[in-house]
Amino acid sequence: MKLLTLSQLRFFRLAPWSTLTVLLGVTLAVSSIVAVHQISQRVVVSLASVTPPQLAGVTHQLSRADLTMADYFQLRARWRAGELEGVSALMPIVEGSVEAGRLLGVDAFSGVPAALGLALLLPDQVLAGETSGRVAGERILAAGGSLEVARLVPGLPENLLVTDIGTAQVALGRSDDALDAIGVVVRAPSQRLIDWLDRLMPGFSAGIGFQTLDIPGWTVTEAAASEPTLAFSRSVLFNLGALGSLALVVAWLLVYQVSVIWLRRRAMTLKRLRQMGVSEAELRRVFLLNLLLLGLVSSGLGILLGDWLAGGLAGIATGFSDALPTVSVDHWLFLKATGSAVLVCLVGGWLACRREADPAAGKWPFRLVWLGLLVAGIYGLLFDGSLLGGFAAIAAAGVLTLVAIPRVLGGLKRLAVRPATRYVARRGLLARIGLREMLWHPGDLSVAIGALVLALATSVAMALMVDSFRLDFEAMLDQRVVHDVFVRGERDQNLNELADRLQALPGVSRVQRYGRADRTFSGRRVVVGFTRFDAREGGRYGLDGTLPQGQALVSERLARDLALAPGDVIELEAMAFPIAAVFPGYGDSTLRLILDDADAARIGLSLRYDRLSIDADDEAGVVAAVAQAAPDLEVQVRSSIRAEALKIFDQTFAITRALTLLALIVASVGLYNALLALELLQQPARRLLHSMGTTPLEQRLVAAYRVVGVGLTALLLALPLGLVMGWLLCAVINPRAFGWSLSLALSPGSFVWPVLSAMLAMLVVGLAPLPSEEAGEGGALEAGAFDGPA
Amino acid sequence: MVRLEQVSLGRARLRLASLVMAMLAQFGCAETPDESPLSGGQLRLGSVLGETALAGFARADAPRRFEFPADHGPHPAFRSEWWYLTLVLADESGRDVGVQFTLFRQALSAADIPADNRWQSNQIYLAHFAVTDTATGVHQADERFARGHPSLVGVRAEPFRLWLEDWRLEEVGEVWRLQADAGEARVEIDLDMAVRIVLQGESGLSRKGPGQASYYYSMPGIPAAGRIWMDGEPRAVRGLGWLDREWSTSLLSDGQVGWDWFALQLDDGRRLMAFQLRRRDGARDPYDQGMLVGADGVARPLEASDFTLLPTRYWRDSDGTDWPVAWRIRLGQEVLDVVAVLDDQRMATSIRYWEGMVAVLDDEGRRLGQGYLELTGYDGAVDE
Repeated sequence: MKLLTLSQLRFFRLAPWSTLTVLLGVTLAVSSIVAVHQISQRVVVSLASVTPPQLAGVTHQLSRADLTMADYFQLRARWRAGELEGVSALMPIVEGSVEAGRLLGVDAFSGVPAALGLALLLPDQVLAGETSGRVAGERILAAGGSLEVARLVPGLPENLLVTDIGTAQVALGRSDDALDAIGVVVRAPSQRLIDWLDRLMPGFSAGIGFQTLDIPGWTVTEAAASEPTLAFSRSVLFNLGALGSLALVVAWLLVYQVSVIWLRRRAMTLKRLRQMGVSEAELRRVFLLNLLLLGLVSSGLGILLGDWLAGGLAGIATGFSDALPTVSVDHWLFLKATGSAVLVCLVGGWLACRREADPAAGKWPFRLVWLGLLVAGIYGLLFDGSLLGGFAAIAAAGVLTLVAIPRVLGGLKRLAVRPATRYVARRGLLARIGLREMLWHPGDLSVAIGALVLALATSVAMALMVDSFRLDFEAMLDQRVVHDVFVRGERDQNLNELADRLQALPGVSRVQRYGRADRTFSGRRVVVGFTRFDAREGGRYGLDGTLPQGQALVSERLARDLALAPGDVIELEAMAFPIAAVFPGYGDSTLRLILDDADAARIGLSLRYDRLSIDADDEAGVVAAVAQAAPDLEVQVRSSIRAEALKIFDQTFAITRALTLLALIVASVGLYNALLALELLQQPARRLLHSMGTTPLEQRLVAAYRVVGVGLTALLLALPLGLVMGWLLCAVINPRAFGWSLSLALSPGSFVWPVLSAMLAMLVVGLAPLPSEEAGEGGALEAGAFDGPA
Repeated sequence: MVRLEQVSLGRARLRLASLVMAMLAQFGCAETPDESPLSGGQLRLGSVLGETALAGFARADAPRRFEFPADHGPHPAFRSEWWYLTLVLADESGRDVGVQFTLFRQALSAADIPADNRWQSNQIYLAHFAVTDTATGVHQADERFARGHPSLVGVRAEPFRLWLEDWRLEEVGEVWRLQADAGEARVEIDLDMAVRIVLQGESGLSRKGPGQASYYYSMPGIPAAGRIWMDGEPRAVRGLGWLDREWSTSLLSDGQVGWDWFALQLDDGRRLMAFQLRRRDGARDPYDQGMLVGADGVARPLEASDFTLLPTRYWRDSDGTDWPVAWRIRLGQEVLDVVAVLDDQRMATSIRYWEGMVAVLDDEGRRLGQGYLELTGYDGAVDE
């Protein structure tokens, strides 16, 4: 065993370039996984403060129309009777807005352990966050009197006050029968598995849309879904995780391909070892053991590179660009890095061993995988509305393309001997030789081409999606950002007086006031916005005229979450509001419902306005006037808002571009490796060409033609696949992940970057040296068996 | 006829302590380990609940006239109160079954609460329920918290009804019926409450120390019969129950690290309660006491010098804590060996303690009776 191991290690030394390509490819793939993990952890840490600590552990929220405490007690009785399987605690929740912010009331003794932190609160006492700017003992106003800040607690969002449920009901002027939702702690085995998978891949639960709780007659909402920011962020994390895995898939193809090549190059040695009595199992074990060693080395390097990469990318992470907390290297990171590297190496190596032992048997795992993915993709696209289903459809499209590659190469091979290709032939013997070498080895090159196709197609798809998104986003900005100056106050501020003063300034033609309040619909927190509507304001939301009184506008995300459409009726404080229109809110995680001022007053909202929009001839004068009257307010002019929004938009996709680039690099490394092996195989032919008088430059030209052929073939397949994936991203992934739909725009620019990337990769691979020392044991002679049954 | 007996105060302390500890452990009030009320197993309630918390509550400072059934109900003018029921039972095959059911009440403040919001009760409740089944070798325990919302929890004197959601101890015809469940375990036991009520301490005033006391009565030897479900199938059980009732506003003193408490129902009709408070300084606490009620109903108070409690075997749990699960009690010339029917009868609750069913044997291993043992303040291995 020791001798066999040394023999294999010696082979790695004799084949340094292909060994290095494996190390590099797997390292880059691991770094992709590590970078996504580290960025995700930073996001998770920053999101932790979104959930009040008193609700920690609550996995779902229950709601239904006309919810009262009687419903809660009945449900508790059913739970105690054992009817709600997997539920370990229930907790009543009352929430609403007081002048000081959002007030959340829960029953400390309901059985949710985290809520016990409220147990010592006396009536009229509340907890505030350490970052709220409040002090213990301070009294704050509420509708039902005043509340005392009992103490400050870490982790509580700054705008949130948490208190006992009775105190909340009194402060909100509601009866002790009032109830907004029921928090549920589910500890079913499936929930535990999902929690674990969420740790392994942040955002996983947002992706699968799998409901672990179903109670007839109740609307069940995952806790994360009830908090729009959380739901949005987890979808982002899932998308990042999926994209981060791309490099891993490409690396797996690389390892498989290299393993096949290595096994063939060692065929003679292995044959001798078998003749000496070494069993097949031992040979395979040693081979896999050495691949494992490479995987472990790669995982270590990948951790270092990925952590560095994460640090660079975190600052421009989408939606969290302000101040992402730093995170330490944890055991999950090691688990993911080592696990993915080992998995890629062992599975790739094992499949290669199987294929070499029995070419027919070696194909069944692939067939099984692609058939399974095909079924999952069709199901995910047509029948399953989850994010995971959407990604399954993308994976299925990718796998279908991979499966088609050998057939495409076979078709090109047949074309190569037909008259249609005479044009190429006429360009010279060298081109013909180069292209023929590419086409005559489809069994091996197809894996490298497949990896490149996947990376390129993803790049095309991402570019298509981003460009489409940007066009829609700009259209939204054009529609929505119509005023000259924007003033934003704190949530509990009232800018009415300032609005009156601004209105009196010379050159100010209009001051539009905006207010908002929090409400809960079907377990989801919704911001109810209100303003005075006219035709111009209606136009901001895509209406032809004003918003008729008694009607409401809803954001696309809210409409999707609650399955609402124009004409549907939404009930607010016992009043019915038909939905006039659904408006887009790209980049906005908040669920929004917009009313006219008069309707807001009718449902009892206090008409306090914390934001203003001003039309003025003299923008600078208005900005100066606001700065003088209220220096703490945030003031922006239209041009700066637009520029800032687009800047954030572009930063948002920096991570996705980086991850795609990583996958592309890994694919290029794989391609280089395949070409390197091909070059070694062709050494006898090269010697023949040399003896016929070709120069080294002409021999390099042969290689260049081969690379161009590979690049063109990859592009031929990647472009349509990228188009399909781009459509899936716009029409399936975005609505499922974020609640907004995008119109796919086929801008030429979307293809430029991926094509340039492909050409650059080809150029690098074509110009890269193909070292003679890579001949390895047996050299080209042993490599004669390289291509096998093509 | 009501008999007045002088009885210990230790058990009252431990139960009050348990309740407050359970919640404080969750509150995160303690800033440092040294300030934790659970630090080193010590009971340092005074450091957490200042005297101001006691202002406005009624105090147990003089003997009072007990009135039944009214005193079976709650006494909200006092800060703390509990209903503590233990049952030693056997099924038709003679296999032992133990049941513990406890409801603690604690007031957060003495201030009057507006009655128009039922959630704003300043009364909070904690219930513990546990079953020890020697047939299956299972000790199943659970706990519940609730605030004093009438739809969740409460106690009523007449007809007697105590409930925390579907855990109930209530008067049904001639008996009180206990219904509770924990995991797979469920019990439905009828209790014949027509037994002697024993007023503890000085006519029911149980002194805890200088200026500290509680009102305290017990009902030992309650005939009990019913059914138990451990694996879905009901089994008939029969045996004896013991109800303790106590309410107070007093606090514990410093210096105690835990206690060992015994309530034994002997087959010859005698009932024995004995406890020792383990002090940090190793000295025997002057309030270590006991009571021996004879088969004829005559009770004899026991002072510390009347008995000794000596652990004879420890069981080490997975956390490395050694629990003394076998004891030798010397009561004058009489020797009683007390052995846990199951070693692991730790309470899987917010409070870390051991409470379980024990068998009472003579020095030759013959059974003399059954009972309950409570152990607190053990959080480390015993030095061998």
